[in-house]
Amino acid sequence: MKLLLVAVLSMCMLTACIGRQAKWSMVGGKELIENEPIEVEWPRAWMKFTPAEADESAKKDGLVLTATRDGLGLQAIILLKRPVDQGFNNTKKKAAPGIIPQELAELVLDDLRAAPNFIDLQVVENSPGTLDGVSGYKLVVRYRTEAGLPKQAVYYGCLEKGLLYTLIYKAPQRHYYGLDLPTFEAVKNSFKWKLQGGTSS
Amino acid sequence: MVLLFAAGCSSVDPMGSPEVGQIEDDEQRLWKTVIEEQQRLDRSGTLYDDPAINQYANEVVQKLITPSVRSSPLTVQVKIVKNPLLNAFAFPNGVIYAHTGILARIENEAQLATLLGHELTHATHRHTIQAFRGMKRSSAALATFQIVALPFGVLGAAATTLGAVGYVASVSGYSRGNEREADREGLALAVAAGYAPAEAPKLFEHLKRDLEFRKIDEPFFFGSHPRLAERVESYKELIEERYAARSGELGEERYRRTMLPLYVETARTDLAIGQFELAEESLSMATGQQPNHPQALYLLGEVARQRNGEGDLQRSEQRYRQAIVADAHYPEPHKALGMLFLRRGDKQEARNELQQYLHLAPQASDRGYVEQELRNLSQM
Repeated sequence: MKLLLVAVLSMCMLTACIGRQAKWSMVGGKELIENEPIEVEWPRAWMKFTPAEADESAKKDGLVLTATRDGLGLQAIILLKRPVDQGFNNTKKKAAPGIIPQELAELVLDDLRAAPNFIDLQVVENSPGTLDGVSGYKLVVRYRTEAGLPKQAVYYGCLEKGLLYTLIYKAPQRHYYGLDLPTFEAVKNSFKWKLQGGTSS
Repeated sequence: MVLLFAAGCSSVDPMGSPEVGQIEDDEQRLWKTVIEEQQRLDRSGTLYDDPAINQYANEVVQKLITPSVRSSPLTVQVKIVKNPLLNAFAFPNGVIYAHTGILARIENEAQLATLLGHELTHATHRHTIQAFRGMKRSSAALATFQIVALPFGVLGAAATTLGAVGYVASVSGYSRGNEREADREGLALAVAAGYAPAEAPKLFEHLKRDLEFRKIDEPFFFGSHPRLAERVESYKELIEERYAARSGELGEERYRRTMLPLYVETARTDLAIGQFELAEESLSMATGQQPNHPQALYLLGEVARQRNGEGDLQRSEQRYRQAIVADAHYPEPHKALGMLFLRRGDKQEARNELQQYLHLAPQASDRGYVEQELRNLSQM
């Protein structure tokens, strides 16, 4: 019995050491994003992927979660978060203190232009945008993947307490982009900042 | 023992030599793989498709081809890949890929001929099949060819679009003996075509200087500092031994004139990455050829604005104005000037330039921001 208790405790401690594991889960309806001051309303029958806490690649990208209905290659809604002074993955440029949304959008675009998997990048739209009232940018870009597939993506981004939050929708340009764009816009419009303790900001 | 050693070292004859009869089974399989890899690379959308530059590079490589290679199964051709990193590699069937990054750093046609001669020799002397046969015998075997990840962020991951053959040709390179052979035979081809041999070490010294400037080793063969140092030494020795008194053509003016659009393209990427000095160098090459090149002048203004060092804002304004003089219908410098005036508090000038921008580019992707700025200006 004592041995079993030790084993169970060891397992618990081991799990605690490992931290949060990567997981896929069904979504639908309102959700307060774990460890984030954000609430969104998901469409029905979508799946959400949350990376493991120890996932270095996800940390580097600032990946909070990604959601899809038919598969990540067909449509993906992605939420990223990174300290704005941390820099980007591809461009060496950094955000200066007091950066305005338009300059922030240019930095994000430079990071995409310098990325190996955004081939023939075209900017369709670069305009002011908001995430639940916080001023930021909206970018719409077209590009080709390394496999030559034409894709289109929408980026909404803003700075909140020194963190750059980005909500992205990516899909193949033909058929899928237009199909799920209204769903993404609904998710974006449901985006709410929540104060610590669950009170709406 | 001596026989075994000799067989291990020189079991493969060059393409076009009388000893090469039928291509063996394993080499045929390799070529089949190569064609698949090339199709994937060609479909990836990374090829730089400027017809004049592609034609020019192919004309240079054609000058290097000997009659025996011309009658061999090789299809010698140069393709250009949009990527600012220093790289060039050949597939065993004679197709050579050169990055825009390495072409933007080459100074003249003689240096291009040296590079293409080096790569062509890897194909004519069948270095890939030698590498594969050598690896099959080694404990590393084919596992070495598996590309898992490359420890390099900016565009280095483009190497992941390459397959096993491309990886060897592009990233790891060949044995030291094979590389020396490619230096020797490639330079002989360039010299036979009438190019100045003294340019060979200069090319690699120039690339080495560039790498020191970037303060990084890139994942590709020509992006590695020790390998470039080896090339410099190897070419210096070859010149001393064989071509000490030999002069030849440089083709500098022709090279720079042809590469003008590539300088601007490479500068755009270097600017996005934040490599301001490299971008400025490429743009200076462009304005050296065409002093009133509007895009190059505008981008020089952008380099100065974004670098934001001492006197850079004045320099950027000057460049934007020069770009407008060069092309009165070019919208971007008007917006850049408008934003500059806005920051300086010169509202009337800012309004004029931003309005002119929207007039010249009514469908501009950033129209929303510019309209917002104009609304703010009218409320002030």
